[in-house]
Amino acid sequence: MTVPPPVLTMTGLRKAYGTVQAVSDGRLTARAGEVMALLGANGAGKSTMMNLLGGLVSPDAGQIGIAGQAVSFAGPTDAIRAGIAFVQQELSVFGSMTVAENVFAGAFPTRAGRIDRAAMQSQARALLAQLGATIDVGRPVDGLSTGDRQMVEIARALRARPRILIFDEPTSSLSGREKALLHTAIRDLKAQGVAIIYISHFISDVFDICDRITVMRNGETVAERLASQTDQAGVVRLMLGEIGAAGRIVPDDAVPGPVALRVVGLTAPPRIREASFDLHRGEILGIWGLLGAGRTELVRGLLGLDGPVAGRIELHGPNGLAPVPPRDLRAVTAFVTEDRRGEGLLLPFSVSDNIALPNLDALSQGGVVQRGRVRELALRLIRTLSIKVSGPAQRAGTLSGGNQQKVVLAKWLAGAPTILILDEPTRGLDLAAKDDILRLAVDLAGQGVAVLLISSELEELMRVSHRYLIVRERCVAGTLPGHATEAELIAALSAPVAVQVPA
Amino acid sequence: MNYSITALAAAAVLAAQGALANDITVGLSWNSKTQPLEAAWEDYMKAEAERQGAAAGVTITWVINVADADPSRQASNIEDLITQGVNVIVARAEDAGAIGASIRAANAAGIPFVTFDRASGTVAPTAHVGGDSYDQALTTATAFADLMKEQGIEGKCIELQGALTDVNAINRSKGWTEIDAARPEISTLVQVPTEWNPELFRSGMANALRAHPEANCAFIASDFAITAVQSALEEVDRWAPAGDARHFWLATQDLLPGAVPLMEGGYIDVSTTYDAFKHSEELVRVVIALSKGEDPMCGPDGCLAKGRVVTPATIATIENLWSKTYK
Amino acid sequence: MMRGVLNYGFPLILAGLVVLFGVLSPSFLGLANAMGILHAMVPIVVVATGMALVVMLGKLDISVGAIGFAGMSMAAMLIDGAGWSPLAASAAALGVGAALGALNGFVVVVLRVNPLIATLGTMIAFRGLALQITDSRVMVLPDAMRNFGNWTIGPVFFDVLLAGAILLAVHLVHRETPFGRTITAIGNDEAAARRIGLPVGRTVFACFVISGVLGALGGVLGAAQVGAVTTFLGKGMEFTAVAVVVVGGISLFGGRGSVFWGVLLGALTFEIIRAGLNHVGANPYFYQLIGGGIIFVAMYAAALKARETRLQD
Repeated sequence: MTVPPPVLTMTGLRKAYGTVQAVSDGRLTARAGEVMALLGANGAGKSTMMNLLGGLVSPDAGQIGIAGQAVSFAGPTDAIRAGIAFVQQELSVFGSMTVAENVFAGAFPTRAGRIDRAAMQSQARALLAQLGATIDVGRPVDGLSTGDRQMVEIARALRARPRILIFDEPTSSLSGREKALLHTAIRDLKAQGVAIIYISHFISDVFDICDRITVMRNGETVAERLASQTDQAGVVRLMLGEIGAAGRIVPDDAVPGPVALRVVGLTAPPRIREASFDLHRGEILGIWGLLGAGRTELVRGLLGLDGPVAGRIELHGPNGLAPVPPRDLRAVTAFVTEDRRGEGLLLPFSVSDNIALPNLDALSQGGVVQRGRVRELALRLIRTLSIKVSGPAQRAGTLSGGNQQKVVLAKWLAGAPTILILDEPTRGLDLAAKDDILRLAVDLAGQGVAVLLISSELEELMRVSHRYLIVRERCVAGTLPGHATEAELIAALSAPVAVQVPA
Repeated sequence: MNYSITALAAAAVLAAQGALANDITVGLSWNSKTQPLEAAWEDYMKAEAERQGAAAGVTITWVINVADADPSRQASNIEDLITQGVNVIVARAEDAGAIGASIRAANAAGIPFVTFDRASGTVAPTAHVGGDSYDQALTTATAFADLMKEQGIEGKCIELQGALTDVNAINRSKGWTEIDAARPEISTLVQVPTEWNPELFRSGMANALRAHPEANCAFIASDFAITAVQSALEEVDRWAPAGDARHFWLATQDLLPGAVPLMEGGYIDVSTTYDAFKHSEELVRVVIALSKGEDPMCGPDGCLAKGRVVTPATIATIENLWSKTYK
Repeated sequence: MMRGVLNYGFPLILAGLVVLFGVLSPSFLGLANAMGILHAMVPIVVVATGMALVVMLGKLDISVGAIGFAGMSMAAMLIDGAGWSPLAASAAALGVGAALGALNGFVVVVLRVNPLIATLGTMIAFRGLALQITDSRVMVLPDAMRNFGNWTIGPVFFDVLLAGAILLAVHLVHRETPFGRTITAIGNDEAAARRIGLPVGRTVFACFVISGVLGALGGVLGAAQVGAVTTFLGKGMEFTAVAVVVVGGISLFGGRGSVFWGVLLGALTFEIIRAGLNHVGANPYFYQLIGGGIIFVAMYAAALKARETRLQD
């Protein structure tokens, strides 16, 4: 079997930003007509490798070779001239300009100083056809779906007839149908001889489209495999290294603590029809149900966030369980959702300011915020939660998704909550960050916090739940013990099962 | 022997004091001195100082400084005057607010302070000397009404107003309106605001002429931008000197250098001067009065000097018309 | 492309105004008045054309009035003191405009100062410079220049044709040249434009130079119309230019709107209101109130339409 010589070879690359060694041994090869995946957790060095390839930064050591020739890029224009094109995760499209204008931005065909619109439009149409897209090239980009905008961006990248085309997280905002279209387009490009590098944290997508896989970890390239010679689990193992494969991290036989929260007959039609359950100190109660079953509505109703609810909520106090209004429950509950930006992480603010914000009373003296206390608190939580920051003053907006989520957690933890509600807390995070968050939940439970966890990923729930709360059609159908099998859990979603009813 | 020397000494002191009483030093602080108007003021002041001073038995010595349009420079200039112990301070303020500090300093030193042409915003000076813009309009309007009567014309006028935030503009409109109401020879068809913007003088005049083709006269709140009005009149072929059938009757204010040749040519019919000579004359009167410890008898807005009405007939012979002689 | 006229409610209001003023003062509807309105609009149209480009970038240049004044002051000094011909002196004024515009461009692009702050500073500096040069005097211009400023070819004023040609030219450059499209791209998303390698710095710099030249030209044409240079020349013109651009439908965020229709509609609005109020003899104290009220209604109509457009996104 003759393998074409690599169009791109990156060997022995090193790059440090100040004292942080972003890449210590970066290697990557790409061949014409092949799709090479580049995988790695956040901080593994993928972005730095791409910045080196794109000419945005230059390497401290190592070599980049294009079709066998060593190259060095003084800037992005050199990289473009060498035949390298990017399709970034953040699309660079100009809404008020037409599709054709977007595709040819920076390289308009002209005739006597004027833009040759006829040529521009026909060429844009041809480029889009290469991708199997039939977008009207004369219409403004405003109003196009994300998938279509991406097609426009890819068409622009293709305009320069690149040898190497790099996709950075191309599917994170696409619907299933759009994803399929994109992959078809990539296969077409492959057939046309373009070398494609595909960066994604959706491993199933990677196996759908890629021929080879390069894995980076902690700044080094740790492996290159043929996709046909490995599988998802294998790749995950390479990415996470010694962190360990996915597996259950709470003991099956944990003894629950006393009841911290008792909910009886919580009702708020049509959102919540009937919910009753107990939540114990030190336990993680995994809320399991189909999309639309009412899990988020349940916890939001519990906290009184969506209007009045009927029913009784009892909180464990100095005299045992006593009924409380939702307001009191909110005072001792931390609520972390998947919507980091919307639910109170202020991106322009520093990490310590974000952490301090809901806890200003405790951090103030005589109405004045004590900077020393704020810093102390921030440092403690950064350590406890292993948040990767250069310091407490780093802007939250510059952190990776996982670290942002940890800052949100830290915010709430500073108030020492009794109850922690996590609603899809790992959505959008890479594997290592998901792992971190789950382990944190387990640690907190170990310290006595009562945890409610909602997740659509059953494997995740199964890793950490002491018990399962089954939610079906806006009711609580019952509970299942921690040792329930996957089959039992899936079955619980459809038919009535023999469930343990709370006392 | 001792006795005679003491007597001689006492006499000398008395004589000296007597001489001092007729010999005053006036500190004059200009905010800037780059324009013909400012040069005219100073020359007129010096001339009047000699004339009025001789009549009053007073010799005036001037100490003059210029501040280059810088309020803090002016403040320190006035400080110098106070230190030198001048008898009276006269200042044309660069900044109406900043001058207040200098006034207070002079008060503390017991030196009378006269603001000239520009009033103080906050602290009241001992006296203010300036032009009477209200009277300017009254005299022009009256003379113009007389002219219309003489010519047997019913004056249908367009009034071009200055910026309504400027007290001079308000005063002039007030004066004109008063005479307009009292005299049947003139009536105002329309009031046009110009915000002192020459472009609005032109377009406002042009619009008013279109809306009122029967208009035959205009009252212009200042002729600093008279060429703008000229443009508008040329457009409708009504820029012509008196005597020509197309002549459009013009009453203006200030008679600034640009307007002088136009009046000499008969295009402008009546104006009341922004009178540098009269201002200086009044200033010297006030200064002499203050130096003698007398009350200059100013009105509520200060000692305002009235301008003089000028017409094509009188412009050749009128004396001390700064806009004619100073370039 | 009627896409340039972003909203229909707004021109309708304008048309309604014309009818209203016409009813109250019949001479308003005459040809002479129409020509007069266009003539009075010339300085602001020229300045707003330059401003439109800068606003398309998503930036502002509030020094244009001061540039107009400085350029024309220089020209007046050359005519008066050095005996230059008005034509040569006007060309010198344009040169001054280009130089001052280049200075603005330098501060914004190279020194990376926020454009609003940068041009606020240069506005003060340029005006101060001009006042120094002229000693705040009124400088009467030669008759030849004033005659040129008001020269008519048939019923049409020459400077209206000139301003119209400039507006059209800039509009076409904006719509049909790579330079113009780059401006729009930068206005849409400057970071994205940089990412794909568009010459952002050069384009921004060029727009400030153009704005400077057109600011100076506006000053020249304005002074030519009135036959004199006074300290009022250009005062507040930058804010009027921004208002014209905004009222005409060019978004201050950049990247959207039509240069031609935006400047034309915006300038027409202001001039029609002023001329109309002149014609009906409105009380001078109410000009600002009435003018402001009409602008408010027009802008509200525009905002309603814009909201509709954005909802489609």
